[in-house]
Amino acid sequence: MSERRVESVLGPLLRIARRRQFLVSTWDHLCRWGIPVLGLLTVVGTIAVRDLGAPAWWLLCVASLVPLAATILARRSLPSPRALLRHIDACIRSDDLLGAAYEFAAEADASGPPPTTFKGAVKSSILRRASLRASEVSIPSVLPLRRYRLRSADAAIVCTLAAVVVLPPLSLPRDRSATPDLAAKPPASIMAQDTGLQDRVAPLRRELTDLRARDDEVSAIASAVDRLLETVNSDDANVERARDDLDRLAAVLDELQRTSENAADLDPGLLEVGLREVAERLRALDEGRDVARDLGELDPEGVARGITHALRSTPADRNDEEGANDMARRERILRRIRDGLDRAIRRNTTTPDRLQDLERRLSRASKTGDSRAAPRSPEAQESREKLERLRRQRRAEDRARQRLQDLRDAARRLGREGNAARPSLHPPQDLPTFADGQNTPRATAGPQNRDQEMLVTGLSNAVERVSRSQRMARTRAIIDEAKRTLRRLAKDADRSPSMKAHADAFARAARGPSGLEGRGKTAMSVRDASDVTAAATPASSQEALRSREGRGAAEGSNGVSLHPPDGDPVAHDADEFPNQRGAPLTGARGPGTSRAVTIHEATQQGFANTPYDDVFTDYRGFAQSTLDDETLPAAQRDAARRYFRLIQPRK
Amino acid sequence: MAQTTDAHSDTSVLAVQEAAHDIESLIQELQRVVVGQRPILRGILTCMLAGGHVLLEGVPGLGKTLMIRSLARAVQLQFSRVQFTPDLMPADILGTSILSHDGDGVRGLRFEPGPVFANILLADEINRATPKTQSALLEAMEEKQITTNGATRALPDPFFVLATQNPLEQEGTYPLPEAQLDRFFFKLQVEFPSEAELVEILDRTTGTQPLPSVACLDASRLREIQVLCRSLPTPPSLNRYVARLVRATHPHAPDAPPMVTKFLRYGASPRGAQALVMAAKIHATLSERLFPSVEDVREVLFSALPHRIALNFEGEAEGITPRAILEEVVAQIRPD
Repeated sequence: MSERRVESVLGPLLRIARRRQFLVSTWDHLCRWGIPVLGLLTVVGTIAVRDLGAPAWWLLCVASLVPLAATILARRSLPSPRALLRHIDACIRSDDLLGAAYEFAAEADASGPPPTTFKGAVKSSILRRASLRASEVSIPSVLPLRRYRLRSADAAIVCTLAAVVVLPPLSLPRDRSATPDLAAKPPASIMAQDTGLQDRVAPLRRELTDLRARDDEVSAIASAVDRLLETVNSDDANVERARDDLDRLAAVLDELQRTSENAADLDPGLLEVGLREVAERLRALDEGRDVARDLGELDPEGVARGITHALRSTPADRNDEEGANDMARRERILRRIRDGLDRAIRRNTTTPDRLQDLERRLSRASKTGDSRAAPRSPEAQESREKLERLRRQRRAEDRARQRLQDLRDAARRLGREGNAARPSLHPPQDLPTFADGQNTPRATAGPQNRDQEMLVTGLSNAVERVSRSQRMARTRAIIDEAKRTLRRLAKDADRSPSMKAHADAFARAARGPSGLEGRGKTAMSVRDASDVTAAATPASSQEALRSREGRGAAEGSNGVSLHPPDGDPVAHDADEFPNQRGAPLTGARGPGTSRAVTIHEATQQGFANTPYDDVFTDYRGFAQSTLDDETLPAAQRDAARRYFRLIQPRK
Repeated sequence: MAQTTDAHSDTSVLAVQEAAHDIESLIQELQRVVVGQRPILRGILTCMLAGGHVLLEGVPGLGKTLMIRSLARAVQLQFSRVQFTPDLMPADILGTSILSHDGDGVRGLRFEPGPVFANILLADEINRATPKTQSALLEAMEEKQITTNGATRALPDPFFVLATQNPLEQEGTYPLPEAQLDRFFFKLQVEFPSEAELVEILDRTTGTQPLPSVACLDASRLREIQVLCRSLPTPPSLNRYVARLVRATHPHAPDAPPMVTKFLRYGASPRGAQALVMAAKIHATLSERLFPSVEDVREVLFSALPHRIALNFEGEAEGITPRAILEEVVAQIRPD
């Protein structure tokens, strides 16, 4: 047997052993640190992909680096053939036979055929024995794969992963009880969460769920908006296309709104007032509570059904105490309805005053020959449009008031007719009974049914009208918010400079044109109940900073806007938003007091003398209450907090 | 050609096995006289086969002289014993020239060989002689010859020195110089026998007549085995391993362990490395293996190197033993 042959026998053994050793080393690296690192990456990736919107491919790339690194390290730590054979010899207890044979074989190859000396003979014998022993070696048994043993770190990672999988995403549900500190730096998780576009639009989509419930044009538009928000992504072209689509949907909604108003020509705000007043009064009655709830929820079918049930007549053949109770119930309900409608009818709006004021100013301008009053000037055009809008508004209010009067009259007639037809608890024996068909109730049944039908239909229609108006307004607000979100997405890169500019603008406005001692022009208003930002905008009008203690329902400057008791305390400007004055009628009204601060104009006489700390406290309190009450996207919350950090007083 | 090689290799294997068998027979024969002490006997035979010398360290009465005398008788070699004392002179060991008359009445100086002229020299309590006398053995141990009166005389072949020293009695002794210590192949610690061995010793020695050892090897066979052991091939990686081990015993070597750096004054010499490889070969032969391995080196390391390294003052003060330092070296230095 020659050394070459022995080497050829050791060669395959070495190749197999080296491959096996590479596998064992790789697995060993994975066991030692690879699997824990992969577990950690899984935890981080789950959070990042699910909650922060990170791309999944990026995490996959990072995760694939772990086995790659293990492979590289295993290749670098591969032992030499001699060391590998020494390890095999130790495992099979061959007294380093294979290793020595490897060395002797290499020597024999280098120096040619072995000499016929004692040493050469010994080497030949060693190689022959090694070749025999090598054929018996089972590589998997001498190079076994290490068994993976769970460690405390692994258990911790598994528990963390389970917690991440089981627990809901970071953004939902949000702990509304926790009041965010405006001066505090926002958590990094929220900052990272802002990066996900879908997270930003998720609240809007949840809001759209209610609006898509019905089968009408508003629902169709809401569904279209929802589909658009569902498919939008961060790609620039996609965002641009989505914004164009939102513009088109907004135009369609505006057209629908105009058509609806022209067809009905009823002011939904006044109708809302009437419905709210009626609901408030019916809520005090046991038998009217269901109707009040349906009114609050703006459910037209429920309202019709509830009023019909509440005003159900006593059967003609019932002339007992139960019938009298029914009549009393009818009377109580009708009286409450009448009272509520009466109060709504008497409610004055500022539309006539403003119309009169505008007409007077226009008239004065035309008389004085003011250049701004020229027929083709933009100011005149704007004034005329405003005048036309106010006139339309007044007509709508008049018609709405007329409609409420009709309903009140119907309720009054019903009550009167009911009293006239009420049978005595102890009727004289000579009076005809209801059963003979000649009694008074029978004679008045025709107009009574007509009035009741009118009342029911009228209230139901009013609810339908208000509901439709509110849904359109909410849809429009969502579209606007979606557009703002998409616009912010494009401006995310330079958000900080814009925020700084915003803060500077507010600071300048707060100081006013004449400095701290001057009379400022700053106005702060919230444009919409569903709007998410408290925008600080300069305005020309000077109104008071009003602060009052109330039960959560605040009135706006025009007195026609209603607000949820726990919601936005700021009124709508009917002049600017004639079609967005709707608001939910009911809400949880707790017995406790709440503080609602309405800031329409931040400056007034004496404002500049107020210490800046106090002004800042008021502003921050206002924003804090908004943050507490509204479901604001995290990006907007961060913007508000950052803003107040920038303007907070410095000692 | 292949068949010839195979046959040759089979012969070599048989030769190794026969040598191992002969040595084992010798040990068995010696153990008929000496109770226990098998590692010591094996170490002495290793030194004898390597052509080196042994320094035995142990308290008196452990059978060192008996061991050497029995060995000499078993291998049929000439044996002499010198009791080293402080007044022992070099001439007392090497021999001296005396004035003598030949048959013709001519007077002249005649060299009278000392006890060193023997195959096996037992230098009992070698540390009791003065350094001058101790140094008289230097040339004999290394060169296997002596020089007196300008004449160099070869010593018998084989020449094997067995020196003993008592570790307890240090009063009036002269520690062996490093140069002479380095010339001892092994330094063996003769341990006190166990209870069973002691009982056996009592049984054998307090009877009527102790059993004498019988010859089972001769000098020629001993030389054959010596050649056989030297002929075993050594893997190159083993030589590299031994070299790294010896270098690591030096305090200033780059791969020296911290313990070496801190507690050693100097490390083993190249003669120590030679001793390691040679001893490993003999150890492999006695184990009927055809080549020395790392395990063989580790087996003989603690006999071949401890007396070749010297502790510094700090090591002595800390009570560090050379064995502990060598264990540290072995733990740090890895073979290829």
